[in-house]
Formats: sequence, C-alpha cells, structure tokens
Amino acid sequence: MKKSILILAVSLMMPFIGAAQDLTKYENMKDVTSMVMTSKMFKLLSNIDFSSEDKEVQAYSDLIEDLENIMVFVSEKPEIRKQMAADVQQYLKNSKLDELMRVTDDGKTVKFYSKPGRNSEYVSELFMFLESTDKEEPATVILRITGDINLKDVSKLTQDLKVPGAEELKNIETKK
Amino acid sequence: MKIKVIIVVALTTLMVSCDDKTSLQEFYVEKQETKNYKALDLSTSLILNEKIELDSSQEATLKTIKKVNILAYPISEENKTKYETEKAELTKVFEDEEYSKLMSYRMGSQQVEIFFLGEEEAIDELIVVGYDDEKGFGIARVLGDDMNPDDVLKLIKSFDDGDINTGSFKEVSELFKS
Repeated sequence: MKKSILILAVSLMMPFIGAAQDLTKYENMKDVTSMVMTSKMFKLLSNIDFSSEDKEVQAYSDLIEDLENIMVFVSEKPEIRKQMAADVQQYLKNSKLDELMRVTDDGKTVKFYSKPGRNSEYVSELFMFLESTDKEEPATVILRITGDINLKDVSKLTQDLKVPGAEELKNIETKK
Repeated sequence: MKIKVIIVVALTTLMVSCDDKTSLQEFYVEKQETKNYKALDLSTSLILNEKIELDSSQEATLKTIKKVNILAYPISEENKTKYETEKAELTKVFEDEEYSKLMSYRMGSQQVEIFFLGEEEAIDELIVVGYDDEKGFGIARVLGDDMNPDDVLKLIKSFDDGDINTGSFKEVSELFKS
C-alpha cells in the first residue's frame, strides 16, 4: 500500500521534474529581467507595411517574418544564476545543439549554440549563454531565437536591440 | 483499495483541470463593480476631436475600432494585502489559449504583456496588461471588429496633434491617482 502511494506521488511529480528544464519559467520569475516575443508578434509586424524606402527597415521586415520566438532572460542574483547555468546545461543536452563559438574575455564567457537550418547560411535555432563574473555587475544572460534565421541578419538585429553578447555575435560569420 | 486511490486521484485531477475558466469579459464585468477597482470606457469618438476630417478609407478603418476600456487596480494602504490574489485571478484568465500572446517584458517589479484575439490581420481585441507590484495593475482593451494593424497605424500616423482629444488621456492617468 505504501509503495503504491509512493509510485503515485512520483508519477504525479514527473511533469514538474520535466518542467524544471523548461526555460520559459524564467519569464515570470522575480529578479529576472525578461523579454519574450512570439511568432504571432512577428507575423503581425510583418503584415505592417512600413512603406519605407529605407533598405534597413525592409531587411528587418524580411528577417522577422521568419522568426518564431525570441526570449531573453537576464539575472544578477547568485541563486538564480546558478539555477540558470544548470538548466541551460540540461537544455543543451536535451536539444542537441551544436556549439557555434565560445568567447572568453575579461571575466565574461559567451557561448553560442545553433541548430542547423535549411542551408549553411541559415539556422533554426540560435542559443546564447553569457556569464559575466565581473565583480561590479555579475550577470547571466540566456538568449534563444528560433525560426528560419539568417545569421547575418540576426547579428545586426541584436546589435540594434543592444542585446548583451551582440558584439561577440558580430564576429560569428568571420570566425565560421 | 489501490483502485480506489487511483480513482480518487483521477477525479481530483479532473476537477482541478475542469475548473470553469473566466473570460476577460467576465472578469471585466465582475470587477468593475468591485471595490478597489476602477473602470473607464472610452469610445473612439471621445478620443478624437469631432472636427477631424477623414477620407473614406480612414473612416472605414476607424469604424473597425469600437472602444477602449480600461480596468485598474491601484494599490493603496487598505488593499495591499489583496493585490496578489487579484493579480493571480487576472493572470489565470490569460492561461486560456484563446488569447494569443504577442510579447511580454518584465523588469524588477514591473511587467507588461500584450495579447490579442482574432487573426493577425484582423484583430478583434488587443489587450495590454501592466503589473507594478508597488503601484497596482491595469488592463487596457482595444475592442474592435477585424482591426488591421497596418491600417490602424496608418490612421494614427495621419493624425495631427489637435486631432486627438488629450482630455481622455488625463482621465486614464487619474485612475492611478488615489
């Protein structure tokens, strides 16, 4: 009898254990700065005719149309950063991403991962994990972009959005 | 014995998941009469100055927007303790997949989420929810019928400063002054 209760309890817990690896929990977590944009947002934006001759605006319009999701999570709290590192490790293991590049510079480690896309210029997922151990402002940043992503365009977008790690991403093509 | 336990567990799980969901409309109707809540309805005609001249396509776009309604829960000394409960009730409304999330942004004690109902090119309702754990929360709903974001943006761009009745915005900011 006791055993069956135990089994029951464990099986009820299972979904929660699985959810722990899910990064989306950081969206509503205290002490985490987060930004999430969904495919609906990109579809809606791509329907808007910015009627601009500006090539840059047009390029954005083309880029975002094929995006599915962008999420950025930033935290400075030691406990959360520890949890983030563990979750990212688990996530990378489960989703089988390839390491694209790794930069260590001035107490800052940035790692980029990707999932192959339809050809060598495109990826279906771009994942960045940044850890800064700077004494003044230690921080951990998780950035995940999914969709049909042209690496060249994305590095430009992240620079304009001032996403942390954008500088490192800029060099991604030259190093590839 | 074992079977009994399983049945009980299954039933409770079922009951929890079947918990009747509240739509945002129901929430709105219920809460605007509730203490501590403040509500404001703005029809599009109120927001725009009467003298404004529109061409036929702008007119048509304007017709797709019906009204904006705002519901706010400003935090005061008396209702502070109930804030979390009310907030939880509201966030639960948006768990319904009917509401498509466009984006969310969170920083410190502030959070903004944008949802919509309808299709990307024909929006029936655009919802902006803002939470501030120190000031309170507010929901702004732009209600309409097949609102096309592109047309609406163009219409807004065509307005001059004098076309918009700023008095209606003052009312909104008054909501949070208690």
